[in-house]
Amino acid sequence: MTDPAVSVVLEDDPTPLVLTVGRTLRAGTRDPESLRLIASLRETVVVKSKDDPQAVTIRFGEIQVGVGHGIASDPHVVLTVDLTDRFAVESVDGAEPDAPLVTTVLRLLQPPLPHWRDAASRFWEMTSRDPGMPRELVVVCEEEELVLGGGLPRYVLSGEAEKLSRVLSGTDVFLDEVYTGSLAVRGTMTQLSVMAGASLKVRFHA
Amino acid sequence: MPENIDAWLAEHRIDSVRIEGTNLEGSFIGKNVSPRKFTSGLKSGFAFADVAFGLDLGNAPQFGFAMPSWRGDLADIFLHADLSTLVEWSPGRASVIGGFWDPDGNPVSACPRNALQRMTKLLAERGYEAKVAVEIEATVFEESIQEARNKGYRGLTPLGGSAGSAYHLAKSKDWEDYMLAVARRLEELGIPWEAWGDEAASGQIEFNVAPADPVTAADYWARTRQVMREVAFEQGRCVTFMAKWCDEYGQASHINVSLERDGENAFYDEFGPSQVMTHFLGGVMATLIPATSFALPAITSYRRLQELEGPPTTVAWGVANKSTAVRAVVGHPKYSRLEYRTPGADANIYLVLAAVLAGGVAGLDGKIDPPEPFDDMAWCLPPGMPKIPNTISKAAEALRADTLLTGVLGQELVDYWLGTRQWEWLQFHTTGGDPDTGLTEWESNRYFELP
Repeated sequence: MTDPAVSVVLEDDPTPLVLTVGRTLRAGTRDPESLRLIASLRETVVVKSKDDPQAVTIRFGEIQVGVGHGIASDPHVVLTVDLTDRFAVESVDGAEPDAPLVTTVLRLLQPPLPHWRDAASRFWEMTSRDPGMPRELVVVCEEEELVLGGGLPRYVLSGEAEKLSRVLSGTDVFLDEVYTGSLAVRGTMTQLSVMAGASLKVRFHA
Repeated sequence: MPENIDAWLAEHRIDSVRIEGTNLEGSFIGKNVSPRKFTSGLKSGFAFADVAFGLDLGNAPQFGFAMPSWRGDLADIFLHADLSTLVEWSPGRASVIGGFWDPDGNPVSACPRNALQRMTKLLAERGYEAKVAVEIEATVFEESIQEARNKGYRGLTPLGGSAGSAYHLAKSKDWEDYMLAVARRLEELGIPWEAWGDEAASGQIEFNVAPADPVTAADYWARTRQVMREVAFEQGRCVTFMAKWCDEYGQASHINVSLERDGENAFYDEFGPSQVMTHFLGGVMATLIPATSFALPAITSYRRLQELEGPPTTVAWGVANKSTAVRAVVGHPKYSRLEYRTPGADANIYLVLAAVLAGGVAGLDGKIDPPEPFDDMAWCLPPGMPKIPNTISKAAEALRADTLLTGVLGQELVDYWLGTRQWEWLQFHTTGGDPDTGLTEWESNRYFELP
């Protein structure tokens, strides 16, 4: 038996949340267990923000998962989530919070975080050639240090392991974490801007 | 331009000078300096933190893209005053417009006035001088700006009532008082206004200023809007240049362009578009889709693109056809021109005019022929006709994919602009905007007062 082939198809002109959910589900299709879960679903699920009007509708089908913005009129379940905390569920409409559909969708939206070193390497692989990126990215986690690339200019990013994993994998927003102080940086304002763009690239398109 | 600045300042008893420029968002920005500071800064320029080009309309720093060399950690850029624009703005106060330069003496690539000057120069190198007139539309309200702010810019009362449509003359005295005061202020400032009147929606007005060279026309546009705001404030009113502030008709900034050569209208031919007009038009049409990002810069700009409501929705041009994106007026040695009908009232005219002229230059250089003229109504068409991008992100994507317009305008300006448009898209979706409803509070708060 071959693995099910499921593609994630985004709406035309996707919103930031559609891109984020699309990237998360697309990552799932590259993991056999997640792919099996995706292929087992046939329902329509709405995921909406607890804080603002952002919402997406996910339609799970036999060969494709469609993601579009807004709230469908016919969802099987509506998950109200905290977008700043990896889709943490605030409330569930249409099903019990521990219903299999809910837990499966959450499992797909909250994939295991990569180790911060792996996340950093993938981040660098995807963004290091973008205009304005530093020649060297130094990621510091407590006593550990990972140097990516080489030469000047250099950019230093430091934080706790989980925060680094979340930001560098596109799960959390780089600028938000810099503003709140959970991520420290050393470099120029110009590089901050470029790194913010690189973070968005990973968040939306990885 | 005064020959002796010190004498001019003394003669007019100037005690402060407002130095003015324009940022990417289209707002008039600047500061007030003493006459002594003004004369001492004429050679060196006046320092502004580069954040003048780095904040969005919500006052947040724009990030997420590579910055050009002149942007650093709040580095200084310098506004150099163009003394040909020096006027006595009000008793004791002068006003002068300028462009932004970096510390090494290079023009800041993202300065809209610089960009327009570059395009004007390109035309001059080809032997042409553009004549431009911009239609300025806005909506005036009975409420003061303070009342508008307190109401979240919602539920306001259009000045002049809600009855009727364009051109009505049976307007109440409060409306007449506002319009006459604006016209008188323009006259005092030496801005040659030609006409004003009632426009399509409630409280909507239009001012027409005489044609001028591109940079002067854009300066007129910026100053006229400043006057419209100041008069509204003086009279306890408020005014908005939002492309669409409610469900009524939106508001535009149509741009009329012709080229002159040796004092003659190069667009004129007795049988229709001249060869010059044809090629200029060919370039304008070839770049119309990517230029949309400049013509419709904000989230709300795209709400105006409604079929049958006036704004063009398809990529078409036609002779005397006001349903197309570009209307060619032909057969008149004086009036032959192109009317570029895409821009909203919220467009930065320095920038969009630079884009139009850049398209024209590309057309002249490449001898680009336009598509066939469109004679039918260009709204509500069946599938197949190319459409004008209908969201900020689609327009940005079209500009990102373009090489023709970018090749003339400059990659640095285009890249920086695209970065700011991505930021605007991101802010709308992640800080309270809703794409599935009518005009949102987010848009009213962001766009009512600025640009």
